[in-house]
Amino acid sequence: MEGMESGCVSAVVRRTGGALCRISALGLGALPVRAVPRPGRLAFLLILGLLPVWTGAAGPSRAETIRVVYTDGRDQERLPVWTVDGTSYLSVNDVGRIFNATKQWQSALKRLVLWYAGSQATLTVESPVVLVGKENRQMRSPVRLRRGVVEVPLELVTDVLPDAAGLFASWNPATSTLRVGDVERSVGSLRIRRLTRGVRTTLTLTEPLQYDFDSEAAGGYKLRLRGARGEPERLSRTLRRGLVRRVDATRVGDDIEVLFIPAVDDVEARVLRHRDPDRVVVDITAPQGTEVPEPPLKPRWALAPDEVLGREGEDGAVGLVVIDPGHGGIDTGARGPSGLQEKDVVLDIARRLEVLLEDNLGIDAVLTREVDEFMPLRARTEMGNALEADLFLSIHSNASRRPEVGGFEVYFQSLEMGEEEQLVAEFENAVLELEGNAEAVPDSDVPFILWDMAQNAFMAESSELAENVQEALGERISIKNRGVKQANFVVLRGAYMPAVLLECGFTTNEGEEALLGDPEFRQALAEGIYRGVARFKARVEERR
Amino acid sequence: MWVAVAGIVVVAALAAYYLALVREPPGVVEERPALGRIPEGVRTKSAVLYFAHPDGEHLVREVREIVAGGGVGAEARRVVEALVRGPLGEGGPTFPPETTVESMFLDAEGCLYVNVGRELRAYHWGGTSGEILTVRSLVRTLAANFPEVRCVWLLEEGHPLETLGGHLDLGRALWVDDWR
Repeated sequence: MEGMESGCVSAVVRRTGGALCRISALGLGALPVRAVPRPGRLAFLLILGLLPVWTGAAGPSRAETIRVVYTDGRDQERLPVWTVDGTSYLSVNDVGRIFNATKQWQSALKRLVLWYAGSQATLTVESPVVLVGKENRQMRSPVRLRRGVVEVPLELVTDVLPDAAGLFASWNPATSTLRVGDVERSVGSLRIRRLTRGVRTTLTLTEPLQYDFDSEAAGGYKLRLRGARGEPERLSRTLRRGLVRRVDATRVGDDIEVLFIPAVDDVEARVLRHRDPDRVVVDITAPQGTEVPEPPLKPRWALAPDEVLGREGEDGAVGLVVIDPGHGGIDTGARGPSGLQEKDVVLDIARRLEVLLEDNLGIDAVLTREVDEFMPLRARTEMGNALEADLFLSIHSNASRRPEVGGFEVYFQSLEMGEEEQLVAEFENAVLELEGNAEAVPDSDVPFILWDMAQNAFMAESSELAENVQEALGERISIKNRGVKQANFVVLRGAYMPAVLLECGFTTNEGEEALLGDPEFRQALAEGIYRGVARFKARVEERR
Repeated sequence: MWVAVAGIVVVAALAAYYLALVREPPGVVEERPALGRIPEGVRTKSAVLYFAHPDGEHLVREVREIVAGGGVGAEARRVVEALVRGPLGEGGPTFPPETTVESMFLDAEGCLYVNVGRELRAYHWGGTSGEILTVRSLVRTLAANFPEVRCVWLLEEGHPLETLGGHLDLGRALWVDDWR
């Protein structure tokens, strides 16, 4: 061994049997090793080993972020800061975002001008002086320019800029949070969303607040936000439909009170508090089976005798199911890496499902398309409505640009607030026109609007069906369960019955494409869906 | 001999300091230094762009400089064009690069009409996931940069689109609050 590995200390050779020396020989291989005397090689290795320590100590340190909370309702942001010589710095581009500023850079003068909130600030690289309006402000640290990015000290954002423009800013070093905006407000925004069985109101706070919730208040539910600052009137809302008629925000001394006025008496309320961003969420829901008096979808005199929403099958709640295999004909749908086409896969699954439903549940199942042919989206839904089906299931497979994305998911129609408001407005306008002239031929727009709103009536049942199918599929197949989701699909839109859309895996995922090409897997999918429908049917019929 | 050792130490020390100076401060995320560079002589603002997260469902945020001025319509157009050019970070694109923006208009009610050419639908990769990501990225990006935008309406050559790929309904205005 002695002398075999050049450059190695003989003691090391004896201990490790030469292994260490072989490794170090690789490292030193590029060097003219023989020229370096023995102690030198060891020193070299030591230096190499300590290099990470040195580079770490010499540079700017610690990746940190600050949290910026806006009092004007904008979503909070986390912005990166870093420490140089004990001062926190951030990029001037992020400063621009905080203040909605526009910027102009003059490289010859190394000067940056910022226009924000009606003011103008001029920064000069390597200078701690900022010219804002006509005043010079001195900061504790200078503006820097590093690799083309202008970096500014944090105090520009927490003090100098807000101060000069009369904006509100409050910096909390303990939590690294900056609250900033035109004025101080404790409630940044109030947003309302429809839930399947009620209404969710989210109050986003700009600071943590204590609150009380009074369920026995006169008129409704009262949320009292203690010590909340700012004018509350802008938070008030009136809703045309749904469980909550009005949300009324008023100032009572130091507090803001938000009164939720429900449309019916028999409701439940729940308050939850969340962090990051700080928010208070109030859910007002109706227990299952509550009738919510909505304005009638058709004026009474226009209702035909056999027109009923929530129609039931003759022998039970679920008598006829329409299965809609997605795409078809010229519309191939998603294609997998080895050529598998969505339209073929879903047709096969649909056929298997049809057999299972008819054989095991004794219910009628009809396919919107039996062969590989194109069918417009609306025609599919119309078919379900025309047949007066009890359930509508649209079968698809998914696609993604990323081949590793996979799994199955079940969708039902989403109830979008803004859109609903718009629909209701259109409807109300159309009805007003009709009422004005009772002899006139009904406006052709009215049925269309009603058709669009139809799914809303079946929101709860669609959600339940989606849950049942998702659960049953999860028990039957082992690809990733991406859960139940909501989205606004054309094919679900006008369905006059509980309706769901199934995404049975990703054709673009190699593994799932192979599975979807396997008849046994498709049978398993069909079985999962069938079991979900069976559960839904059982539950619904039990309730009657 | 010791001269050689000293020489090695000096070289190593110089290497260490060089690496330290050149290395990026760990705090700079989502933005390469070249992007942060503000173009000479033109007024810019920082825009937030949302691209696709690797999970195929969520969004990833990037900040880019865009030229300021010309009103909301002009600035919104530049933002959407930046979205179309695609991500520079870890996110995935949400628009086919062939997409062209024909015009943009903000109406009195705060609805922004985004009028694109035929290419968006023609080259879109489809799939429910794909369509949702495109719409989500568009609405969230516009909402994040323009608080006056309350709704977005995607049009193709001036006409409403039924869908991008046969799934998501685009035949009506998309309300910003619904897409948070």
